[in-house]
Order: sequence, then C-alpha cells, then structure tokens
Amino acid sequence: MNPRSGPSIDFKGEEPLSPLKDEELVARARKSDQRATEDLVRRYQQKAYAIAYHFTDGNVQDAEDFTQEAFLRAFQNLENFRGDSSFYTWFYRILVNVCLDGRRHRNRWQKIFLPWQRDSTEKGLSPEERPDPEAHERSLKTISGKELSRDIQESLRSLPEKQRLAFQLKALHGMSIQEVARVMGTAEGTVKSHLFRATQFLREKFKDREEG
Amino acid sequence: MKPCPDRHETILLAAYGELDSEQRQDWERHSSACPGCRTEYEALLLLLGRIKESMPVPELTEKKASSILWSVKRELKKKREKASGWKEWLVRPNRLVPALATACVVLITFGWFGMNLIERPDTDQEAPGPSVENQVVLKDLEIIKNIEFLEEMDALQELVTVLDGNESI
Repeated sequence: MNPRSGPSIDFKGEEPLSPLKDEELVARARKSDQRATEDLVRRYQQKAYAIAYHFTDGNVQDAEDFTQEAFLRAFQNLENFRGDSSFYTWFYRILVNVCLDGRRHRNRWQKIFLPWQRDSTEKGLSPEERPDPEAHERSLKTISGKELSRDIQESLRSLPEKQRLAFQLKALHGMSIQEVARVMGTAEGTVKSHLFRATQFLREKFKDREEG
Repeated sequence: MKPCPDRHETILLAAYGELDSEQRQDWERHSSACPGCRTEYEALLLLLGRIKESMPVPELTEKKASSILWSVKRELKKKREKASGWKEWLVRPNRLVPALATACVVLITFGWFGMNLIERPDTDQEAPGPSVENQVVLKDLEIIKNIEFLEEMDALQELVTVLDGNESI
C-alpha cells in the first residue's frame, strides 16, 4: 500500500518519482521546497483520489476537490506534523476529515432541497436505471456487475459512517487494520469491531443471493 | 452447516489477511477439519472479492493529476506570498518606523481631542428637558438677577407695616 520504497514511474512513465523517503521529502517541503511538495503530491494523489471517489459515491468532481483540499490542508499544516506516525497515515487522516466534512456539508444542503431533488430523480430515472426487482432473487455469482455495484453502494450507504469508513479503507483500499486505526484516530479493537459489524451486515444482505 | 461460534473473528481476520503466521497455521489446521468454518470463510472471500470487483478504483488521468498538482501549487504559492508579504512589510524598518510614528501621532491627537471633549461637555447636546439640578441653578440665577427689585419690595413691605401701625394708633 505504501509506495515509499524505491524509485518508480508515475503516470505512464511520464516522470520518475523521487527515490527519497517521505521523511526527507516532508523536511524539504517544510522549507518550501517546490520539488519536494510536488513529489509528495504525485506520490499520494492517485490513492487519495480513489479514497475520495469512494467516499463521494463516485462523484468525480467532489473527489477531485476533496483531494486538492486535503493536500492544501496538509501542506499548510506541515509544521504540525510531528512524525509520530508516517506521513501517509497523517495525510489520509486529513483526507478522510475533508471528505467527512464535505459529505456533511452536502447532506445539509440535500436536506434543504430534498423535495425538489426527489421529484427530479424520480422523473429522471431511465427504465435501465430503475432497480430491478428480480435482481434480488438472483445469485451473487450470476448477478451483473452493474447491478451488484449499485446494490453494494446502496448497502454501504446504509451503514453507520464509521463502519462504512473502516470497511472502505480495509476492503477497497487494502489498508491494514493498524493503518485504518491510525487514519480514523481510533483503537485497533474498535476498527475490528466496525469491520466485523459492517461485514456481517453485508453478509446478511447478500446471503440469500449467494444461496440462490 | 454453521461455523464455530468462537471462530467468527478468526474467519473475518483470515478473510482480510490479518492473521499472523502462528494464527494462520492454527486457522489452516482448523479449517481443513471444519467444513462449516471453511464454507463461511469461502463465502466471505467471494463476497469481498465481488465487492472489490464491482467498485473498481478509478484511475486518475494524467490531465486530472496535473490539474490537481497545479492547483495545489498555485494555492500554496498564493498563501505563502500573502504570508511573506505581511512579514516583509512589518519587518522592514523603513516601513515599520514611519507606520508606528503615524500611529502614535494619531493616538496622541485623538487622545488630546478626546480629553478636551470629556473635560468640556457640550451643553447643546444634552437632553431637551432640564434636570432637577439644572432647575435649581436656573432658579438661583433668576433670584440673583432680580435681587435689586426684591430689595425694593422688602423696603416697601416695611413702609406699609409702619404706616399700618401709625393708622391703628
């Protein structure tokens, strides 16, 4: 998960990433070294964008905005980074907070404009986009990726925020439980508990399809 | 067939690849002998696999990546320039000394005017109706103004008293 070791090529061989470790790049970035700042952004923007993308339920624009905002906040607060944890867990924590803030902000607006939105979404759904009542009866092995993706997204949305966050970081972004705990600023036992509940919920939700 | 009730956490950690080597060996031994736990583990792996498959991680295109990088650099530069601009402005002695001198002059001038205003309150700006104290002062002034007339009145009063006395005799 951590792309720190050794030089690698970024974005289809465009420019090699710095071979320097995060600590060295952070020290240089603190002294307003443009190159170090650039290297840190290049190193983590793909992963950050992916996390933000899943957090925003696939909203590309929000994902880009949140990624950018997280980098800005991180570099503005680089003086506060004490190095107790690795740079990337510290940065992903900022990112997660930016995403949560952004989502809460969006939800507030959605509550205000909910009646209008409901009307427009109900009218705007094409027959292909409407939920397929038969899909629920089909097995997990035969159900199409698009249907499953939609159902999974719906199920994830219905999870409590922390369970959802723990599950996404672990199952979709391959972080270890220790890393998830650091990013969420909580104990490993709590992360295990969130993961267990989220997984059990999803397991129950898709159990009938699995057996079908 | 149901999994062993005390193995739920192990199954979950095994599916997430979070068991250490010792725990993994123990789990492998158990799963080979327990079809219930093995089935649950396989079902969990299938579910997690399908979830990951159905929610692919999007690739950030070169254009978008450059756009994010450029925006971050631009915003940081803007903030640094803003911050350093203030610092430079304050630190430079040829600007700081005149600025402080001007501030002192302004404070002294307005302070002096302010003190004068406190010492000599503007009577025109007082409330329209005279207060009780003012009424007493006005009455006293009226008495002082008409003191001669009042003295004459007293003299006349005494004269009348004397004449009245003579008449009664």
